[in-house]
Amino acid sequence: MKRDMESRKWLDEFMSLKQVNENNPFTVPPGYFDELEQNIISAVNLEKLKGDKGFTVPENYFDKLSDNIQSRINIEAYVNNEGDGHAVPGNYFDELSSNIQSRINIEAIVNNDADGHAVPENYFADMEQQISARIMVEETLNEKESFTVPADYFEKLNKSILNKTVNQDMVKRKGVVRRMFASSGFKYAAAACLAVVVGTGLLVQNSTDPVTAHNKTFLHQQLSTVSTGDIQSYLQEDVDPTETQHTVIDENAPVNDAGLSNALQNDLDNNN
Amino acid sequence: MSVQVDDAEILSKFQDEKTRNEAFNLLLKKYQQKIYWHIRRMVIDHDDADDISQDVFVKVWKNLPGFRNDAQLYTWMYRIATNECITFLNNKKKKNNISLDDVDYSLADTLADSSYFDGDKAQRKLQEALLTLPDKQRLVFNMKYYEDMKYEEISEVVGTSVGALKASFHLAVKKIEAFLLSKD
Repeated sequence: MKRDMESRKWLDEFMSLKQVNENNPFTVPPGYFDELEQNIISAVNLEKLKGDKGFTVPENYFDKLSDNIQSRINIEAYVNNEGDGHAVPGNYFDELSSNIQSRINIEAIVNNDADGHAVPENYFADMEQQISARIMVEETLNEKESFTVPADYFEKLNKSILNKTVNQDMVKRKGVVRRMFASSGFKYAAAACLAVVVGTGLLVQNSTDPVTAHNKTFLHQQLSTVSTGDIQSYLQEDVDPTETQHTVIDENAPVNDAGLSNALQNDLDNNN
Repeated sequence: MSVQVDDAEILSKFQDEKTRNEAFNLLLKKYQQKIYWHIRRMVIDHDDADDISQDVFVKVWKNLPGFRNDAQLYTWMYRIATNECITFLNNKKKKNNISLDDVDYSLADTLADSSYFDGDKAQRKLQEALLTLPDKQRLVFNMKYYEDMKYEEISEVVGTSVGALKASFHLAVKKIEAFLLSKD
C-alpha cells in the first residue's frame, strides 16, 4: 500500500519511534493465506447449513425453559437439604404437581366468577343440555294426555272411600249411650257387695271341716311321714293302756309339738 | 496478494444469488490479509488471529445482504473485525480471571514465546510498548501507524470523533516514546 508521506510527518517529533523499522514484524506459516481462503469458504458453507432446518422446539419453549429449570433446581435443593431437619410428607413431591394444578383450576373458577360464587366444573357446559332436556319434558307433559278424569274427581274419591269404610262402622255402632258410672249410688252398691263377699268368706273359713283343720297341723304333717306299721308296733309294745295320758290329740288342749317330737325320738333311740 | 476489484462490483454481484459465491470469493481475495493483520496486531497470537478472521468473514457473509452502503465496505468490515477483537480480549480476561493490566503481560508473554515474530529488538520493544496501551488506543495507533488510515476512516471503524481520535493518537505516541526511551 502506497503510503502518504505527508501523513507521517508527525513521526519527526518522535525520534525514538521514527528509528523503529516500519516493516511488519509479524509472520505467518507458509501458504497460510491460501489455506485461509479455503478455510473461510468452508466456514461459510457450514454456516449456510444452519437455519430453520433440522430440529424444532415447541412455541415459546425457551421462554419457559429458564423458569422450569429454576423451579426444578429449587425443588432439588429443597430435597437435598432435607437432612438438615426439614422433612416433607411421603410422596409430597409426587402429589405436588397435581395439587398445584387442582389449585390453579379452582382459582381459575373463582376468578371467572365476578361476584365470588363458584359453580361446579363444566356446570355451564352441562346447563344447556339440562335446559334442553327439561324443555322437551315439559312440552311432552303439556301435550294432550290420553287418559283424563272428571273434574274434582280426586277430591270426591277421598270422601267416597271414607263413607264406605270408616263412616259405615260408626253408623252401625250408634245407639243410646249411657255412662256406666253416671250414678253415684253405684258406688255404695259396689261397696256393699264387697262387704258381703268378705264376710261370707270369713264365715266359711270358721266352719271348716275338723279333718281338714287337723290335716293342716304340725303333728299330722310329722306323723304322715311315719308308716302305719311302725305306729301300730309302737302302740302295741310301748304304750300301757292303763296309763292315763293325755291323748295325743286333745281337741281342746294345745299340742306340745316340741315335747312330742322329743318323746318319739327318745323311744326310737332306745329301741335301736 | 490482494486483488483490485471495485467494491461496487463485489456488492452488485453479491446481490445476485447466481453470482454470490463468485462475489464473495472476490471479496476474500481483496480483504482477507488486511483483515487478518488488523486482527493479528491486536491479539498477537497467530492461531487466535486465524480463528477470529474466519469468524469475521462468516459474519460478513451473513450480514452483507443487509449492507446499506452508508459506509465504505472495508471500514464496515474493519468494524466487524475490531468488535471481534475487543470481544476476544475481554473474554480472555474473564476466562483467565486476570485484570485489565495483567492481560498486557499475558500478551507480552505470547509475543515473547511466539515463533511467528520476526522483528528485531526495536520492533519487539515497540510491540511491548503498544501492549501497555488500552485496547482502543492500541487499535487507533495500529490503524494509523501500520495501515495509514485517515482519521475519518478510523472514526467510521471505532465510532469515535476525529478530534478525539487525534488526541488519543498523539497521547498514545507520547506513551510509546516514553516507553522506548525508558527501557533498553
